Amino acid sequence: MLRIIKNFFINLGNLFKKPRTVVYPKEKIIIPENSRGLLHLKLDLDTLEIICNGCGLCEKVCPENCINIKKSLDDKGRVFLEEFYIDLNKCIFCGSCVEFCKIGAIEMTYRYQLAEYKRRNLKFEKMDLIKQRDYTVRDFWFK
Amino acid sequence: MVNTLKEIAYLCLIFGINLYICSYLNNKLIARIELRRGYVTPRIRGFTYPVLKLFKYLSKDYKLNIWEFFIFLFSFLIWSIIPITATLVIVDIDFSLIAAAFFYIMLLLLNFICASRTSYNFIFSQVAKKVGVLLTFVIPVLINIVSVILINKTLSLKAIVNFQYHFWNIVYQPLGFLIFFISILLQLKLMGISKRNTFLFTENIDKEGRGMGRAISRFSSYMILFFLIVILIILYIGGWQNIYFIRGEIIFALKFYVIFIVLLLLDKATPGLDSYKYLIGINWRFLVPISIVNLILTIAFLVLRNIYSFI
Repeated sequence: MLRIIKNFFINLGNLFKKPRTVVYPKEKIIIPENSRGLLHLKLDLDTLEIICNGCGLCEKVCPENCINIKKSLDDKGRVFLEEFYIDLNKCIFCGSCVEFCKIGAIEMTYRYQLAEYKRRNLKFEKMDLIKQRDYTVRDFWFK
Repeated sequence: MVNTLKEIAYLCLIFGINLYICSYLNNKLIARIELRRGYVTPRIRGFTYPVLKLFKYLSKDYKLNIWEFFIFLFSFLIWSIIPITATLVIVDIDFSLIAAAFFYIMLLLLNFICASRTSYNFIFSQVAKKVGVLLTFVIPVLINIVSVILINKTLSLKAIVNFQYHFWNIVYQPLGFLIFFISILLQLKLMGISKRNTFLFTENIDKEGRGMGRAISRFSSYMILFFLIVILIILYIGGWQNIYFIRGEIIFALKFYVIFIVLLLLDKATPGLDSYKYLIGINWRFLVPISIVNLILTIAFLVLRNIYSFI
């Protein structure tokens, strides 16, 4: 009986509180901090080259095997990243790749609205991932 | 004749507006209790949503059967004998309370008959169970009505309201009021007016077609609820009696909406009562015994006062 009375007053109090949901997409809220979205391949701002050296650690740690890396050797015999594929059909946005990367070459953006009609549109390449720089800043939902 | 037509028009207007307000409140309040928005159509356009919903029902092709027509008819007939105010009553009879109870039980039975038309056995058994449980909730209500009749010594609803000129019946029958209120709450749960309820009174129509039939059964469940609330107000809390300078009609409407909102809040405060077992248990272990005790106490009080003159 006491529980019912308590629930009654909780319900009554809720009537005067602000709703926690929004009418999407007409209303917007700021994305929570540290949200995990699509990957971004970082560039070295001085040389404008990709930081990633193609070591392939992210490919190994990925639990869903959604990252596929192609590496090759340059003239001086150094390993460099030739291609970086990510399949978002499989990705669970766990963030392991970012966590294990020793040189901090990849980061997670706040872009997560990735719905597509075709599966092939969810396969991103190196250039696509470099272009995700805009989404590294926290912004509103509607972007 | 003209007066009767005028009264019918007034009643239709009152219940049309009331239905709109209650369906809007129902959606909005329940959403607010759950900390989400009600009708998603934002701002002012949300007010038109109940009307749009009605058109949505009408837009779907559905053949009405005769029992659905009867349900619709009885939902109106109930109001022909119930006085909303001192003057606004279509058929003024001395035994209006009995007639109202009869119409109410008939409406429940009609829902049962309508459900029995289905070819799907499971739906029939479910709806039969629901109506059966609903009919058992009528028992404590009827016992309490007997107590009220004994106190007021009349079968006319108008006379009962006039009797409460000095003190409302709730003073004489607090237990009766409590039981009546709980009974309404449990019936509200069974009828599934609040959307998230697992019980759906109109299960057959939900599964076997939509359209006008769905609208009518929704309408009938609202009418049953309105009827019960109005009877509660008339029997226990003074009906349309004036309070100081405020008109009786306004008082009546205020009482109606306060009870409706409290019922919705209590409905949400008791989410655990979503099982027939609990509902039947509450009815037979709590409501019926207490209402019988209430009746015995009332009879004892009347006997001691009128025959032995002790009180």
